Amino acid sequence: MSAHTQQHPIQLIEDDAALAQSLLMLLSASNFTCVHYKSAEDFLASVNANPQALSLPTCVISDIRLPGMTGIDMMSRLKKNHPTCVWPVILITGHADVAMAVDAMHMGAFDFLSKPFDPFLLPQKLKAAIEKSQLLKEGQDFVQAYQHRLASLSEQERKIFGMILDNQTSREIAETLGNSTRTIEVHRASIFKKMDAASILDLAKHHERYTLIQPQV
Amino acid sequence: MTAPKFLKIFTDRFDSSSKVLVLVTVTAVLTVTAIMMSADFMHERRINKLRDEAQKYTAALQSKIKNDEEHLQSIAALGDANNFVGFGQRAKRLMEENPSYINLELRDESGTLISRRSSATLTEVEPSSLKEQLPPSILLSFLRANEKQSVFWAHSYSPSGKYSAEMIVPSRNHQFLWLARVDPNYWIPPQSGIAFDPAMRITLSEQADPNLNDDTSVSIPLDLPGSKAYLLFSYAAQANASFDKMAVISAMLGLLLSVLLVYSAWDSKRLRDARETIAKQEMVLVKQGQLSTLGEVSTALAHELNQPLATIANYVAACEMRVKSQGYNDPILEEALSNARKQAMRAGEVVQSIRNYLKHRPNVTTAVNIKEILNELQPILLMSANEHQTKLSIKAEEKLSTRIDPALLEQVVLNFCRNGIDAMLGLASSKRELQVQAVSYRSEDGHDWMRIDVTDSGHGVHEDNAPRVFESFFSTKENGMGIGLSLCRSVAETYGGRIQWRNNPQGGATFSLLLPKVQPA
Repeated sequence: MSAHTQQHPIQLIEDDAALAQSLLMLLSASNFTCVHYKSAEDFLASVNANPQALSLPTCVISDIRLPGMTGIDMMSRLKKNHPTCVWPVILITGHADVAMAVDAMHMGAFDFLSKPFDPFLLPQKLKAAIEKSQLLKEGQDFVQAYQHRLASLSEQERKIFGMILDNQTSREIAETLGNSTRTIEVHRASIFKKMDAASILDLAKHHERYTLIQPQV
Repeated sequence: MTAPKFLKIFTDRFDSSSKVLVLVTVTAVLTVTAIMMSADFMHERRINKLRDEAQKYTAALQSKIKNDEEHLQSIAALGDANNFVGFGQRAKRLMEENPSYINLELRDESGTLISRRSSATLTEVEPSSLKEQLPPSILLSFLRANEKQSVFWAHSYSPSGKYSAEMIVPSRNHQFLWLARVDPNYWIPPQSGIAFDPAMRITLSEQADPNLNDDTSVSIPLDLPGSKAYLLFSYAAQANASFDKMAVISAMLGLLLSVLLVYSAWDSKRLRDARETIAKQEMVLVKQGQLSTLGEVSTALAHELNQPLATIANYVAACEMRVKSQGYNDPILEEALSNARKQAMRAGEVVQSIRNYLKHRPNVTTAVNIKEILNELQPILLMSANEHQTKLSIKAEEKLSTRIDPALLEQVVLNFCRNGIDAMLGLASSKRELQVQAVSYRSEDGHDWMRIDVTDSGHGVHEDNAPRVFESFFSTKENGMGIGLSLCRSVAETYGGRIQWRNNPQGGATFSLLLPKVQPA
């Protein structure tokens, strides 16, 4: 089996000991590492104890019907309390109610399984979830880096950066700002270097990605 | 007013439909008509009988009077009858034979008394000492009798006002006339000696009955020349009245009976209708209850079975993966494992499809007013409460609404109430109290809920059982299936609500159903 991009154990929340054990064995046979919690409360306590882990790509598998807090409640609380969490949630339901599945997806579940599910589907779903987590993580990393780069620009450079994104030539910018074209060219080179862009196309692409992801973060 | 029991027995048997109401009413009307008609008919018959009797009697009396007239005429015609001695002897004999004569007189053509014989003394009165003249009322008939030489009649009154009839019989030689004063009591039974119905009464009058038109009496003239006299026939007043009373009383009784019958039929029909309605409602609820119970049983079964089935499938899949990763090349083992996994999945699908089939019924989710639902449930709740001598109180806030299938909401309330009632069976009946209360409630996180609390005064939930209250197939009741509260929780979860419960410090438990509150439609 190929190595996964998993950087943190899969979080399994299941109150039925037998089912939990079988899932652990199945996951280890598929080369996933896994941590098991008996209740949503236990899981959330562990998350609160170690919030940094939330940015490490992995995923959560949770039963919906649990003693105390339900899987759906757990999911909404996780998203509300930890907006930067990159862990997609897969819910397991005992009864495949279409309404419940729709509800779960609507509340932001990545996927859901109804018992008994085909065990061979699980690794695929987990892989997809972890890929999604990875993407989220990368997006988050990019946004952080991009924000860092943006912060390194000087006041003048930020103004010129905005004008470049507006597709203005160096001459047009120089005219608007009352500088010489040469001065603008120097600023422009500095901006490209600081923003780690080889071309104007690169610069635009990065910025578009940033504006796309940012509202999610 | 409650109809008497015997009527109820009667009507319970016969009023299978409202048709009977009509039938009874018609019978009542017919009865009354019959009674009235028969009374009328009776009256007619009585009058006819009176008329017949009257005519028969009058004819008999007239022939008797005629006989008397003829007899007296024949005596008056005898040669020696008109001398003083002859008159005396014959008058004496006549009066002995016929007691109706009060006295007999012999008078000359001018009406002067010659001789008189009185029945009271049977003695002869000295005529010379009397020299009596006839009173004018008699004199007219006397003169006519003399003129026509035939019997004439007149009437006179004694000083006490008593009516008497005077028979004037002319003798053959035109010089003398016989005058007999007749006691009219002898024209009336029993002195008359003529057979007559004792229920009837006869009176003698100078006039025809002025009340003749009312059809209750008959008057017939006696046809006495020179004098008017009528016989009035009627029924004895008392007998007449008593018959009318009887008729009225029986008619009224009949009417009362009919009214009672109609009322009782109507009353028992109404009662039965009410009972039927409640029974029908309960049937519907029981059926719904059975369906939801079955659905819940299948859900619980599915849950209980799916768990181990999923576990089996997982273990088998893990084995399959391990067989591959460890490099065993054993196609038979691989196939066996694959089949085992597929069969586990199939078993899961069977359970699921049974459950889907049982759960498949249209859920009608609508905005429901809680007060209305509780009002509809009240008769059924009261029935179960009364059955177990439990005091029941139901309170609900006005304009409290939620969205749910009303049938399922009813199931939840019914389940709560039945549990509550069952929990109080060990108590004295005076202490059994069940409260149902619907209130609006804002939870700590700011959500608005509709909450129905069902509070009993029973044994509460035992500490050991607390974690298992909602568990399927768990019950503390002897015949409990352990589905009721599990069903309640499913219903609550389906509609975005929840079930809460607590043991109360004063004993007993409160179970609450919370559902999201909505604005009333």
